[in-house]
Amino acid sequence: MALHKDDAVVLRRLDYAETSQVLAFLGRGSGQVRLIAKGIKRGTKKAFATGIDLLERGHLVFTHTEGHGGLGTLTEWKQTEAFLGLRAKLRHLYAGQYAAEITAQLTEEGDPHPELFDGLVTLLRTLSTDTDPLVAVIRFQLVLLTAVGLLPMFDACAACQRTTSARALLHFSAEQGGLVCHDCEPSVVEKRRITAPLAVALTQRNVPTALAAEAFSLLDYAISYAMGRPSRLGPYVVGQL
Amino acid sequence: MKQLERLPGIGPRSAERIAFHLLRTEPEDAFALADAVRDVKERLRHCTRCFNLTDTDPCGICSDPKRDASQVVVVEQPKDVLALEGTGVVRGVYHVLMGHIAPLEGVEPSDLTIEALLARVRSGTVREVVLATNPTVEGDGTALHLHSLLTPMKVQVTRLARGLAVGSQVEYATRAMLEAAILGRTAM
Repeated sequence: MALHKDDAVVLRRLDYAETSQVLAFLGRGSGQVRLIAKGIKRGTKKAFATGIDLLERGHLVFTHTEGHGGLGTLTEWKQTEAFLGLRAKLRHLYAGQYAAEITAQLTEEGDPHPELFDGLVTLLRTLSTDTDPLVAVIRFQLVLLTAVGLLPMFDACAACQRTTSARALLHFSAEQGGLVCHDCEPSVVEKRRITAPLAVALTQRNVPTALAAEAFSLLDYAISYAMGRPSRLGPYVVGQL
Repeated sequence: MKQLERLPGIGPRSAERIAFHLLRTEPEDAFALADAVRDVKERLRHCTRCFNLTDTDPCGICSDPKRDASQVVVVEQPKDVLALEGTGVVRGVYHVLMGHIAPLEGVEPSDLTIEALLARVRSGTVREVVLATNPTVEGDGTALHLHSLLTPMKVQVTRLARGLAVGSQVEYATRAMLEAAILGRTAM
């Protein structure tokens, strides 16, 4: 059976039976990979004796096998980066988990996005420092939406495709896929109003700290629409919970 | 045999072996096992003070006058109390959260026994809260959440040390273990 190797970050971890876990990784060359780690909780397997935690990066070795619902098997994991710094502050920790949630939901197995993997690693490194988590997360939201081809249109009306001044694009529609102009807005049912400074910032892809909460909320709205449900960690990132 | 098979880790062969063992064993031993199983469901419950599993309320630890009630060790599960009691080092009492905050799995702070912990601290008898949640992302998140709630209450909040396991070797430790061990080193 062929062994596959990759550089990966742990996105999800679910207990399976008594001693095993099902883990979702984002591999740099493999995209999302869901694997079963047999006997991992017993702590006797040398290949991953110390357990595997969320949001850690490591060298992944696995096999693709049939059975276990199409899950491959994790055969080896060597942690290379633990991003311990992000565990020092609650909002940084929630921001990391938010990134894991939306990445797991919006990526598919067997569809690699190396730039997304690099963006995730950059985010986790940034969150391990004292930097404002919201600005870093917004950067990652844009990387993710770009990678999966769902980046909303910010420089023209998503409904009529006409390029217009950012100040005339004061509504956002996830269904239309971006900002909507004055003329189209009345006929669009699903929409939310945004401020002129945010419209300008999004058009220029440069969100200042003062607009970070509003920008995060808007991008989270677009991501939630793509996921088909509200993100669970979004309210934690902005400190509502 | 069908009932035994429903137990975790027991397959059809093991169930058969246990069933035949029970057939061969003395009646009083088999009845003692049956009584123990019945007691688990009829008598075991959660201590109303610390939420540990107990057959008396308050539990033996909470009602022990020799324990230091001013030190509360916060753990995720009743199994963690067993592990910590096994060390014989903890002189304080416990508080079982009944889980950890895991928004990804839909577990929110209100699903845990956090309010009861805060009420214990508010009573004014607690001097130190030891956060003994697991050193995982969820356990650390829970500890940070509790820390933010407890800090304004003027109580000492401590966290279990982390790093190298006793008996392990530096060359086989993970990067996280080594980082934690170096950052948390103590003077000799």
